[in-house]
Formats: sequence, C-alpha cells, structure tokens
Amino acid sequence: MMRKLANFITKYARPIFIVIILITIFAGMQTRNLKIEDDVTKYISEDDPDIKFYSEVVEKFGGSQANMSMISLEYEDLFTLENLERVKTITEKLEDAPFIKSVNSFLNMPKIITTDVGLEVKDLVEVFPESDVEAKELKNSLLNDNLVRGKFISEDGNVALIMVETVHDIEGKELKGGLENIVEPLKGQTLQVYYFGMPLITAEISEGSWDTMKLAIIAAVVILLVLYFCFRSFRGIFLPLIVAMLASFWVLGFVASTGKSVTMMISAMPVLMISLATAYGIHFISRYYEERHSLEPVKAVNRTIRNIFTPILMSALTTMAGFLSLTAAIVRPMTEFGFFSTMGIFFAFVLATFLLGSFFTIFPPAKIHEKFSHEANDLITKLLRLTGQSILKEKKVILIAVLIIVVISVVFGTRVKTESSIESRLGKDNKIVKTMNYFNEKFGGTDFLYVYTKSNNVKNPYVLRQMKKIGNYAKQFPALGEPSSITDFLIQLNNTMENKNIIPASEEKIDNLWFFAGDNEYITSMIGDNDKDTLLQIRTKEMTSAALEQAINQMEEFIENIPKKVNKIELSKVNEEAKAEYYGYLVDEIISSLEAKNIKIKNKEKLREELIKIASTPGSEFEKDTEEFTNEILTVSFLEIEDLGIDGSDLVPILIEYIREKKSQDNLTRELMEKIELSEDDALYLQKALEDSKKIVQDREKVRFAQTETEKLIGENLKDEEKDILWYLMDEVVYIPDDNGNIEVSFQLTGIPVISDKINNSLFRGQVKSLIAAFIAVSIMLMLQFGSLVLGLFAMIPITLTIITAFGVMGLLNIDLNIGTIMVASIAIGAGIDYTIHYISRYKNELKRRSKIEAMKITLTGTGRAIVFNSITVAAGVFVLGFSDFGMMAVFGKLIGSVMLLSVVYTLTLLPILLNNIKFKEEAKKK
Amino acid sequence: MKLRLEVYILTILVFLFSINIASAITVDEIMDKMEETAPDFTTQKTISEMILIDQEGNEEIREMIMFSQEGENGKSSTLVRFLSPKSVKGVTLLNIDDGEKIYLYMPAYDKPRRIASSSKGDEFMGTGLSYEDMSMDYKDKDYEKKLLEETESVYIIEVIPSGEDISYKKIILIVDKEKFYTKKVEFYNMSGNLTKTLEIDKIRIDDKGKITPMEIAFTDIEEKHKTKIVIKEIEYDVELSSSFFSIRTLSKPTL
Repeated sequence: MMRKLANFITKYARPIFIVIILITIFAGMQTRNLKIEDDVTKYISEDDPDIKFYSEVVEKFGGSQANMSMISLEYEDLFTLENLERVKTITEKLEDAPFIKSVNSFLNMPKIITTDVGLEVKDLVEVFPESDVEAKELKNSLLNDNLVRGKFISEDGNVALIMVETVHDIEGKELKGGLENIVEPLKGQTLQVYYFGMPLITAEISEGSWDTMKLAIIAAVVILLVLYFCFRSFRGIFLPLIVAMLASFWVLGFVASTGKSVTMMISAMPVLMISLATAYGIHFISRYYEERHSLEPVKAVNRTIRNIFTPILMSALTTMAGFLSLTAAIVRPMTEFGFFSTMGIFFAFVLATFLLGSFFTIFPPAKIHEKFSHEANDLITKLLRLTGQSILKEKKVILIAVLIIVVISVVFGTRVKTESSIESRLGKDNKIVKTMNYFNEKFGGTDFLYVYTKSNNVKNPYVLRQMKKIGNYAKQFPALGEPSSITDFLIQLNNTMENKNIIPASEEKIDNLWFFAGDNEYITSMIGDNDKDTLLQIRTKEMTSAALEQAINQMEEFIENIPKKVNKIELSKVNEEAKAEYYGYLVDEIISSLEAKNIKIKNKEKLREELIKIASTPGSEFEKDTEEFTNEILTVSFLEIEDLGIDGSDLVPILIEYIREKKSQDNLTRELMEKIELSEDDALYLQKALEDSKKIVQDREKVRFAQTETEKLIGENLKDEEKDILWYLMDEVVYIPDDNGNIEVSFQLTGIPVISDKINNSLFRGQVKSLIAAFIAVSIMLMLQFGSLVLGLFAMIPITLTIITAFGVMGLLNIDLNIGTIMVASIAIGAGIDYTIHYISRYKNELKRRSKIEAMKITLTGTGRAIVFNSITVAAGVFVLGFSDFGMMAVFGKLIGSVMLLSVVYTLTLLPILLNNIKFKEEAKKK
Repeated sequence: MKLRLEVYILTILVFLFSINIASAITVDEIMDKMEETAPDFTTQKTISEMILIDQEGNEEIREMIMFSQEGENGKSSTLVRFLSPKSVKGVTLLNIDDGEKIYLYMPAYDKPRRIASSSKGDEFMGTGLSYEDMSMDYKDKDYEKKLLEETESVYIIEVIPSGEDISYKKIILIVDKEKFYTKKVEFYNMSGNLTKTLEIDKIRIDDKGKITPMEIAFTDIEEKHKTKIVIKEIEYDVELSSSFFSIRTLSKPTL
C-alpha cells in the first residue's frame, strides 16, 4: 500500500502540487472572513437550559449583554451646568445615531419631584438644571436616588455612565468608531472617558487574536534559529516550517468558509501547529536527504514516502488523539480548539507527505553528499551519555526523587482552581480588563445578575417586598453591587405619598402608585406582559469565580427560604385573638428584612415578642398632648387648612386641649365653629381631616417607639432605610405562607455571572472527561503499536507523571485552570507521548543486537538527542505565545512548552529504568 | 406621566375650537367660520373613554368623568375622576385655574396631595403631543399660515412655527369645507418628517349648528402608539356648587 501511495505521489506530482497551491490560495482568501468573538453565553450549547433561560429573559427585558455598551465620562466636577449640558448633548446625539437602539443615562431615569405638599414624576431631562446652583442641587438629590447613585452616576458624583443598546448587526470596530465620533468632539474637559461592552470587547479580542496569530511568524523565526542550533544547517528547515504554516492556513480558511465564528482560543493554533507539526516535515526531509545520497530524485522520494509514512502517521495520530479528546468537553472553546487543531495536525501530516513528495519530485535538489544531521559532541549529547552511564546505578535516588516530586505535585495540584472570568482569560494587564476594573470601581461592575421574578401579579406588595429583600441581601457580597428594580421607584413614590420608605402592604396603594409610574419608559420596560414577570438587576463585578460562586450559592439559598405561596389576610376582618397570631407573621417579615440587611440579631425571640407587643398596642397609647405632636398633625393637614384659608397656629391650643382632655369629636367640631368661626360644614370637614392626621401621627410615634426598642435589643443604631422596615408594624394586610395560597411567586437567578459559574463548573468536568479520553485513546494506540499490554501501560507512566507535575506547578505558581490552561494536559498527552514511542521503538530495535544496557545507552544518545531537540523546538515555538496580549494565551504557551520539556525529562530518566525491568521478545530472539 | 393627559383632556376639547389664526384673508375667513361652530359654555360635564393602544395593538381602556368650568378670570378649572379600571377607580385630579394648582387624590392613600403643575412644553401623556400642540393656541404668535390647497371637501392650511423653542417645522390643518371643523392635524418635526397626527373621527352637531368632537385619535408615528378618546356623554352648562373645584370635592365618594 505504501508503495502504491508513493507511486501515486511521484506520478501525479504536478497536479498534486497545483491542487495544494490552489487550496492554499482559496484558504488564504477565506481567512480574511474569519470571525472571532468571545461571548461567554456561546461557550455552552444554546440548548442548555440556563443559556436558554438567559436568552429568553434578555429577549423580553432587553439588556442583552451582547448588544450593550457603556460609556463613562469622568469630570473634575460633573455637576456644573456646562458639563451636564455636554452629557445631555452626547446622550441626545447618541439617541439619534442610526446604529443605536436605545440610550439610558441618569437623564431618562424617572425623577420624583417632591414639593412640601405634593409630588411630580418626570424624566430627569425634563427638570434639567438651568444654573450651576441648580446643578449642585441636582447632584445632592441624585446621590440620594437609588435609581441613579452608583448606577448612572458614580458614588463620588463625578462620573456619568451612559448605557447604549446597539442594533444587532454592527461590528465592534465600527461601533467604537461611531461612538467616538459622537463623544469625543462633545465631551469637553473630561478626566477620563472609557468605552466598554460586549461588542467592543469582541472587537478588541478579535484584534488581539489576529496579533496572537501573527506571533506564528515570530515562532517560525525562533524555531528556525533553534533548529539551526540543533542541526547547524538551514537547509531542509524552511520547507517543514512552510508545511506547518500551510496546515494552519488551511484550517483557518476552512473555519472561515463555514461562516461560523470562533473563540479567541483559535488564535493559539498557528503557533501550536508550527511548533508541533514542523517535526513531520523534518522527518521527511532528513530521510529524503539520506535516500538522495544514493538514489535518483524520484526514487529517493518514493523510498522516503514508503519509509516515513507510518512513523509520521503514528506521531500525528497520537497528537490528534490528544486534541480530539478536547472535544469530549462540552465547553465550546475547548471543543472547537480540539476539533480544529486535530484537523490542523491532519493537514500537516498530509502536506508533509504530499506537498514535500511532489515538491521534491518536481524540484529535485542536486545530489547531496553531506548528511543532513551529523553526529555531534555537544552539551546535550554529553549530558545524555552521562545519564546513560549513571541512570541504573542511581536508580533508587531517581525513583525517590520522582516520588517526592509526585507527592509534592499532588499536594499542590489539588489547590488548582478553575476560573472562567474575563480577567483570567485576558490577564490583569490587558486593556479590556483595566477598563473593566474602572467600571467595577465606579459603578460596582459591568455585568448584571438578574433575579427573574415571576408571579400571578408582580405588582403584589408581598412580591415587591421580597424583591427588595433579595436586593438588600445581595449587597453584602463584594462581588455584587447595587440592586435595582421597580421597587426602588415605588418606594420613592410611596415615601412622597405618606412618608414611608417602604413598599406599602396594600394592593390598592400599589395600584394607585402605578398610576404615576404607568408610562415611564424605564418602569414599563421592567414589567412583562400582564404584570406576570419583572427583573431585579444586580450589578456584578467580575470577580474570581470562587467569590462569584459563593455569592450565587448563598443568594440561591436565601431565595429558597422565601415562602413562594402566600395568602392575604386583612387584619380589619379578623378578631382580636386571631390578630395576635398574624402579628407574628408581620414581625417575622420585619426580622427577616432586617437580617437581609446584614443586621445580626442576637436575641431574636425577645425582639419578636417585643415587636408583637408593640404591634398589638392601640395607636391612641402613643398620643401626646405636646406642641410638637400637634404641630405634626397640622403639617399633615396642611392642604385642608390651606383650603379653608385659616391660620394653622390658631388651631394648636384647641388641639392640645382636645388631646389632653380626651374630648369628643363633636366637641372639637363645636370648638372649631366657635373659635375659628367656621361654618358647620367647614368645621366637620376640618375635624375629619385633623382626626385622620392624628391617626397618622400616632402611627409615627408608634414606629419611633418600636425603633428605640429594636435598637436597644440589637445593640446598634438602625440606619434610615432599616428604620423604615419597622413601618411594617402598621400594615393592615398580612401575607402568610400557605401551600394553597393564591399569591404565587418564583425567583430565578440568571445573567452572565450565572452562566460563567456554570461554565466554570463544566470546565472542571470537561477537563476530566477530556483527560480520560486522551489517556484511553493514547494507551490503546500504544498497546496496539507495541503489541503488549504491559509495555503500553508502562509507556504511559512518564507522560502521566508529567501531567501530575504540571498540575503541581500550577498549584505552586497559582496558575488557574481556565479555558486555555485546562487544555494543556490533554494536548501534552498527545504530543508528549511521541517521545516515548520514539524511545521504545529504537530501544526495541537495538535490543535485537545489543544488551539491555548497551541498547539503553545508544537509544539515549541517538533517539534521546533527537527528542531533546524536538522538545526544545516545540517549547521555543510555543513560548512565543507568551507575548500574546491575552494572559490566558501567554500562560497556555508557557505551560505547554514547560510540559513538553518536562515530558522529555521523565521519558529519558524513567523509561530506561522501567524498560530495564521488562522482558522483551527481542531479547529472546537475540539469544 | 399618565395623568397629564387627563389633566388637560378637557382643555383641549375647548381649545380645538378656538383656533384663531389671523393672516391671509382666506385663512382668516375659515378661522372665523370655525369659531362660529364651536359650542360656548361655562361649565361642562363629560363622560369619556380613553383607549391607549400600544405598538402591538394592546388596548388599555380608562373611563373617566370630567367637570370643567371657565372662571370669571377667563381661566378654566377641571376635575377628572377615573371610573374604571378598578386599579385607578376613584383617582381624582383637580386642576384649578389652568393648572395654577393641581391636586391629586388617590383613594388608597386617602390624603389629597398637591402635584407640581406641568409646563406647556410637557408631553401630554403617552401621546407625544405637548399641551401646546393640543391647544393650537397661536393667537399671540406670529406664525406664518397659508391656505395650501382647497379640495372638494377640505381646506388644507399650513402653519409654520417660528421663534425659539419650537418643536415642529410645520403643522398642517385639514378643515372640513362644509362644516368648518378641524378634521385632522399633522405635525412635522424639525427634519420635516410627519411624526404625529390628531384626527377627529366623529362629531355631533346640535340644533344650533355647534360641533362637538365625539371621537379623537392621536397617533404618535415615531413611538407607534395611539390614543383614542371617545366621548360617551357630554352636557353643557351643568350646575356646580361654588366650592366644587376645591380639595374637599376630591375625596367625596360621589360627585
């Protein structure tokens, strides 16, 4: 068969050569269309339930990370009229840009304007300041606005954030140019301007990926130099390099022609191909030169193909097995990289035989006299000779040393963490990561963790209160930033209506508040059809995966403990006895809300008892006959008093007396008619208003009392927002957990952080699967090739130890297992095993003629020297990846390089000892 | 904010008939005739339905009752109360003297609140038309107006706004030739594109020849939504007590 193939290649050399050239031109043209993106949501299958869910949610509520960009404008002082005007103009211009779908900044956040007795809801842009003084006032009010502070304006008040949703089909590069064209001429005296977002990251990554691919050229030069150092000859080195380069060209062209995008991992491929596949060409050429020494050109080619086809195939097969095993992982960059690299190695193998075969048939070199690789007495050879002499004597020392290294490696290896964050992929010095860190610092993150909330009515007070609680709970995690949802807006509105910073318990109140919120764009965008679902958004910092996982797990646990089915009980409709029981539920809600705010309550039972007691105490107990108390009543009744056109201060003595003497309401009406000279109608109207206001002030007193008591019991002062939770004591409606309850709610976490976390977990599983696959595939190949089960298994030992040691080094140097580094082990098995194969083959061959010791010595200096050279070549090549802008690529390159070197060390020290203990049939033959 | 529309709903009805543009003779004549057809009254009671139609065609219907009165100072006061849907039932707005003071009463909160009055440039809830668009109050403005075209059934009048802070390049009025009322208004933005329209789809003519619009439709072409107002009952010169337009009326269960 070999003969047929060799004849075919020499016979059709010209057509083959032309076809290869044509394919290369075609591939080269295609390569320009290569699309590189690095969208985490595409790392795992689209059918993955978490991915599907995420897509559904962002589809519904917008805010898909894929189309979101942010622009930050930092000023020395943002709140001057001039700078605010600039931000406004930029926002407006962005809104008009054809490539932009929507723009969000603090300017279109709903703003509740409170006057002493009333309110108004407007978009902020409608109440734009007209002077620097007004600008400063706006600053103060925005820094107290939950919808804006830390979300659209940094905590320090000097950075404005503009969120831009772009149309689907804009390229990142074009987008960046478009944004800069709008922002740069208008920005004025900014301190810093940053652009961030998935489309922009994609552009940067794509650019960085091309740069990384270009490193292949440097790698080629480096390999050329290393090979020259090894062989002292440039001849026959260029062509193998070209073979490897063409192989990666073919793969890139193939990928591009499918029209599918690839992750940035692909950019490591050209360097890897050049490093790993150059050997095939070298095999071919060195053999060819040997044959050409004594044969005619075509015959030499023919003989060369027949001789080297199987060894190169064997070497390619094991390497391909290593790459192919990566496809066992379900994480896209691994699968993809594995598949395409397998293809690359295959192409390199094909090209090494077909291209070189046809090339030397068409362009035969003159007869060669010198040998391609000459015997040398260099440092490496000396070292190997020394190894051969001492290895069996120092067997114990070596084995103990290896054992110690393995034990240490296992210990450190267990410390290796998986990490799929952008920072870990790109490295902390990467431009994107630096920008991201800026956004983390100023705005608490660039990603969002969403709590998708579904209910038969998300406007139900119970549901809204739970959302608020979950948001508060999230604040304690360093990875999570400010939460935002419709609750913030409703709470602000409720506060202006009745001075309570809470979600009111009454559904009617929420309905009434909704009347205001109704057509604010932000608010409507946050509620799904028929009020069935809404989102709680929590800004998320890109943190280490471990920190994120902890936050997500704890959030999930917290959500798990929230009752999902409740029933509404109206306290006005139950008797006193039953009320006492319901107060318990009410107080439980208060306590859980306080705890969600990270308040440690030592004596929970005591607090519970105390609060229940306060809840059941009638409001009249908190009445006071002081001027302060009455003045508060008058403030609450301001509108009615104004309506009647009377002076409020005239009412103070009447009211004090009314309260002190506990007079009847009729009496109050009469007093108002007599002393204030009101008509009966007016007096009745005012009396009712004052009575209502008195109840409100009683409630306020009651809550103040509850605050003092709570503070005493928990031993710390409550902050404003925490104090307001105690207003729940005044709820007229209680929501009690009930399996048959008619108010149902469910919460589900989603967002990039959840997906990253999932990918991170599947990374580890993917790694294990891939390793097992690589191990099994390579073992089987070895057993088949050597025709021995024992030898096959023994042959796996050096590479296994190499992998273990590599993990130890990663643990020792704190290198995380990320999308890139995770592939090193499988690739190393495939590529590193070649050394073992070469060694054993030669050793077996030598055994036919020599003793075990002699065979070992000659194998070490002969084959040993070749594989040392090869590993140095490979390592030198992949180390070039260290220059990549992407941290992950850099580490990936360095790791592969080190592992290949390590693998040679293990092969050359352990294999001789191991093989010495096996009985070979070759020995028997010799005897 | 949704309430803005409600606040001004009646004002518009009043203003629609008092278009007063004085320039070219023909336009002038048309305007005079139009003024003649507008009903005059001091108080008015209307029950109407407001239908909000969004991009997807979803409808939201609100029913409301409105009272209005033109005071001696020439300023009008209105009181609007929602009758349905349940979520807004009883929500009442009181607008005194052309928005000098606006009060809001929400039954769930019981206490009336004053809300800030909106300026003329504000958007007229959901419709994208401003108070000024609706009022078409060009009396004191030296806008250029001309009769563009006269067809068999309508006059087409062009109004070119001028001055600072203008939001439209031009406004086209389509006036019924026979009955002299505005059938349609088209608003063109500064880039010259048609962005909003206001149409009167149904009218009622009383024995004196006075015309009351019974169905009005606003369309926001850019935002792709539509608001329809259907008048179900209308009464002129109803009797109202002297303190009717005051805070205490807000919380009264029946008006």
